[in-house]
Order: sequence, then structure tokens, then C-alpha cells
Amino acid sequence: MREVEELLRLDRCAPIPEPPDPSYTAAVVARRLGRPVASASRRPSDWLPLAAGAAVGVGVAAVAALVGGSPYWLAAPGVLLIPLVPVLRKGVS
Amino acid sequence: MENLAEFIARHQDSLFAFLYRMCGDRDLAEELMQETFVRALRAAARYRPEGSVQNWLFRIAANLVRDRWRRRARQGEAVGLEDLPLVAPEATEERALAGVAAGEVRRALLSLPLEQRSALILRYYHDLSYEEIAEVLACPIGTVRSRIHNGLERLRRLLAPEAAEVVKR
Repeated sequence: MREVEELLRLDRCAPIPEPPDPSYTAAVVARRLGRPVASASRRPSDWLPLAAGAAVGVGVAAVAALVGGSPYWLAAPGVLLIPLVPVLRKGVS
Repeated sequence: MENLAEFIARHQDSLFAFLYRMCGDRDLAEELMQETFVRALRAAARYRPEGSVQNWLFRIAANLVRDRWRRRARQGEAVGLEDLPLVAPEATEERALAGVAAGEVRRALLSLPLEQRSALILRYYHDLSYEEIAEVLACPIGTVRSRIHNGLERLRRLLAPEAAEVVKR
């Protein structure tokens, strides 16, 4: 019986056909389940680009104040980031 | 539950390997694998397996193979090698068990009854314990031992040079 067990162990190491790509399987399964592949909890939110824009604005204003420049004008780049939120959001997602 | 793609990537390889060795057909193994994931994820909404998720998937897959074989038998379709008379290779003095080709092992495995085949594959290809196999196949541990023993014996008669006999079902 040990010889048969050894044959099975050898066969275990023998190659078998490759399974499909997991992403393909996931797409097929998701379609049959009627839901998207990625879970809802991973949907990107808007807080990150807004926070980044605010941080840039505050940082630039602080630097401007330190060097004696007008903080209002030098904070413009940070403020201008805010309308770019949709573009940044698409990049994050 | 984790992301669907991650879940499938984690379990696909072993599940596919199990199904391929059970069926001997790549396309059928892929189809049954997809069905296994679909059933598992539908059931996961109301049921959380207490043990290994992998073993839970094996259980679903084994049931799917069994159901497919039964359906084919009812429809009068060819149900695979296990229903053919098993004829061992002609014995020769030079032939040794060690000279058996991998293809012969695989063919012999596919000729076993489903219950013996699944027990052997789970034991020797996926390293499941007898307790885990009993859980997957929903049978007592004694039955698992019996199936493995009988399956090995059947394989020995198929592959050994002395086994020049016809095994009729």
C-alpha cells in the first residue's frame, strides 16, 4: 500500500491545467451574483483631496507669514486645489 | 466578508485542483469552481462556517460533483470512467510499480467510485486530516478510513503488475 501512496504523492507534483485568472473568475461570479466585484466599503471618499488642499493652503500661508509675505495671496494655490476635487478623486480611485 | 476578488484569489487554486482531479476535465472543473463560489457567497449572507473556509468550499464542490454525476446517470449520459469495467494493465515481469506513469495514476484515480476518489484526493493532494475529510464529506471518520483503504486497495490492483484481473462492478 505504501507504493500506491508514494505514487499519489508523486502525482501530486505532476502539473495540471492552469485555472483561469482569478480576476476573470471574480467577474463571472460577481455577474452571476448581480453585484460589483469590489465591495462597497472601498468606494473612495472626497475627504482626502479636500484635506490635502486645505493642508497645502495652511502650509503655504504659514510659510508666507514666516517670510513676511502676504499669506492671503500665497495661500491661493491651496485654495485653487479645491475645485480640482473631482479630478483628484478620479485619480485616487 | 473580504473583497470578492481577494476571496477568490485566495481559494481558487486549491479548489480548482480538487475539482480537476475529481472530474479529469478542465472546462468542467472551471464551471463547477464558479458554481462553488456562487453558492458559497450566496450562503455566506446567512451562514458563517465555523471551521476552515477552504474545507467548506471543498464540501460544496464535492456535493456539486456528486449531483452532476447523478444527473448525468439519470439522463443516461456517460458518467465517466468509474462505470467502465476496470482492466488492469497486463502484467509483465519487468513491470514495476515504480515505473507507472503519472498519466496512469491519474486515470486510475478517475476510475474510482466518487466516494473513494474524493477521500483520497482530500487526503493525499490537500493534506486534510481524517476528521476534516469526515467534515467535508459529511460522513463518520470510520467511513473515511474505509473509503481510503478501499480506494488504495483498488488503485493497487489497477497499477500493480500482479493485478492482471478484471474488476467488475
